[in-house]
Amino acid sequence: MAGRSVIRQNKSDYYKEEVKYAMCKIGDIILIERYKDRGRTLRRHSFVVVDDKDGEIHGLPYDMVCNVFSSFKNEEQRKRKLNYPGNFPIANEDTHTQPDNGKSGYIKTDQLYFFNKNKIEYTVIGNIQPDILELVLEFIDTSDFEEEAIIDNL
Amino acid sequence: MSANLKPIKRLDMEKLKSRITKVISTEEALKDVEPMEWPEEVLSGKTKVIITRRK
Repeated sequence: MAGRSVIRQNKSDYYKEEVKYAMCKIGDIILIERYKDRGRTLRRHSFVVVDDKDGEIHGLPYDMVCNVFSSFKNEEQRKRKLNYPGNFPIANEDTHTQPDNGKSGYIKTDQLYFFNKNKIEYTVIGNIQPDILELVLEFIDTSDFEEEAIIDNL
Repeated sequence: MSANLKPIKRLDMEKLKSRITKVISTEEALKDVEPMEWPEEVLSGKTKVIITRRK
């Protein structure tokens, strides 16, 4: 069902899963489970929330803006991807999971995904620490590369 | 006030929107994007992803 997010909490020996209306903030890492009524199924991608204020684009209201968080297929692709000016590298050592996923990646900051949280399903799976988030936001703010907008989920 | 409580400087979305030159579909945007693979523990909610200080 669209318009809901799944938020899971772990408290030592107590595991609670609850489904509630979307709540997330800047710096959260989310996994989009389902996009707006789309015939073809897209793979589950991770995104970083870079803005959580309401706004409007092309006459359409949004309440969340994200960048996709991607990994590399191989070393050659890693070199190629990191040549793009809009890709912000994230080393494996920067990412903490248990167990370690062993993957480096990048945040693709030259594409802005505008979302209406009521029209997608997502899970909050983690967050970026404030000091790194500040670097990412500063990188976006002070760069001058062109941006592409994705608004078909509004 | 602790440094951790320092408010995050938000993006100026109006300024950022002025840099938008093209609107593309989700499908097109994701076509060359390799999804990050997470351990089952992350997907099940038993542990979280945390991106921390770069080394």
